[in-house]
Amino acid sequence: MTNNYKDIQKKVFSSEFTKFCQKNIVRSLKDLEKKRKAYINCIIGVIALGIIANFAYFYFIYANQIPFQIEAIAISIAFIVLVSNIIIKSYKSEAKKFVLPKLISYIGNFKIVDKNNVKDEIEQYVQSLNLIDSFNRFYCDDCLEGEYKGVNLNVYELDLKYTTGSGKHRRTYCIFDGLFIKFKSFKKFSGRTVIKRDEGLSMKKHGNVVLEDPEFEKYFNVDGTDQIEARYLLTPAFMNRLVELKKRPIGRGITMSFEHGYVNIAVDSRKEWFTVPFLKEVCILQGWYKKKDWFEISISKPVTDITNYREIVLDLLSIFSIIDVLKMDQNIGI
Amino acid sequence: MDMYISILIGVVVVFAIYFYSLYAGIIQNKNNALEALSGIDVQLRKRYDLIPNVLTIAKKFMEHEQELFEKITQLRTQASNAPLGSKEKFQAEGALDTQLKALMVNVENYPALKSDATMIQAMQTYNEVEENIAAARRFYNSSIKVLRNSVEIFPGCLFAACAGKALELEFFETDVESKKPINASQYL
Repeated sequence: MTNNYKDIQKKVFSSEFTKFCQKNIVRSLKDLEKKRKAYINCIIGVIALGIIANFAYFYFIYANQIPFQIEAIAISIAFIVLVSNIIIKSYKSEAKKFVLPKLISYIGNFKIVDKNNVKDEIEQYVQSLNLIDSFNRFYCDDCLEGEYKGVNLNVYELDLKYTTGSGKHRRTYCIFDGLFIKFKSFKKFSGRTVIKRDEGLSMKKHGNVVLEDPEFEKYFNVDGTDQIEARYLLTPAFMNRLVELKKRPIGRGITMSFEHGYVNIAVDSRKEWFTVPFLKEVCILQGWYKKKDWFEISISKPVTDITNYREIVLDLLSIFSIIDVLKMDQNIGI
Repeated sequence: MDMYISILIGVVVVFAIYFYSLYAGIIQNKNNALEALSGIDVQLRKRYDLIPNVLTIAKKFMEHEQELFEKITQLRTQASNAPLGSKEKFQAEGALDTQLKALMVNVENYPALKSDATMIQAMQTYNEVEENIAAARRFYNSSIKVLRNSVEIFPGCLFAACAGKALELEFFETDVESKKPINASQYL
């Protein structure tokens, strides 16, 4: 970890950050706290309604019929989960609107971009890349733009799906769910170099560029249009850094490409329930995975709780650590 | 009887396919090695083109480095005339590399030259070209390794002759000068 990242991390846990939050965030969120309490009451109401409806169903309609009782429990649980989820999501998005701009101002020169303005452009851009498999459903959540150590960064939270068939045969596969980061590189390149994770499903390497570093080759597959350009971009020092990044939580699901003059990084935040290679793949494709929510504010914690904001800033820092570890902010030629 | 003949034909066909794929693989590796070699040449050409420009700019400011300029010019001619992939070429390139590095270090002693806009641009291009040369050499070494593995491991060695002159190609290694320990005090 670079010193700079450690410094910022220390800063996040310092009294200075607490003061910043108290002064700029907590004080202005009294209305939001009221709303949070109202949302929680709503959830409690929904749960109570579900339970009452269930009891009514048991005792007045199908008192002695076991299959119908199970059915009733399932319906009420589904109702509670669905409605509570809607309430939680609407609170989170409202809270995020208030908090995120203030928090990112603490980190540096960053701004939130209206996703409706950039959605089509990002979709077209991501579609044109060889970094992520093809998709036909595109969802964009948070969009951030700004500068970190002289590097102009664009960060987008994306959820990409692929749907086939229709009606009963309709199947939806999750292609990508995580962060997409784009920035200009110091090195000039005209071709395409794609670095994907080696999933270990096949004994044969998929990439057409075979590099010298055995540890790098263990984790990644490289595909490129130009063998020399791929090596020009992936120097031994850069490969080392990529391996180091891979060992961190943020780097676990990292893939990267040098295309259209930009460095494109996709950080998949899906986490599989199984570690067995085949099961792992199937579960992720089917959408059975744990997901990391980026920049989220918990409904269970009061808005006065600084840990809410600390987590968001740490999320942002972990993204910046990619730039630090890969030394993308330095024109050092390696 | 017919069945035995069919099995025999089947076995022969399987072996023929296997040996053909082995042969095709060696030819492919040979061509990759030659492609990698020409890749180095393309990058070296860029360096040869850049050297006269760098020297023209440097001569204006570095009047006392005539000997170094002459050496670089001589090595450039020697390297560009040497046959592609030959030992002389690699040696001349290594020596040229060392002299160019020495020139770039000497630039530090001439503040006027160091801050000259055309020299700054030339040095940036030089760094870019050097990085590309290094990348081309890595690709070359990797191709040579694949080719050698394919012709030295049995049964690939039976087809070694198919690789022809490509087998004589050497791995690129840095010159003796650059392997020597550096005395940092002379730069301080």
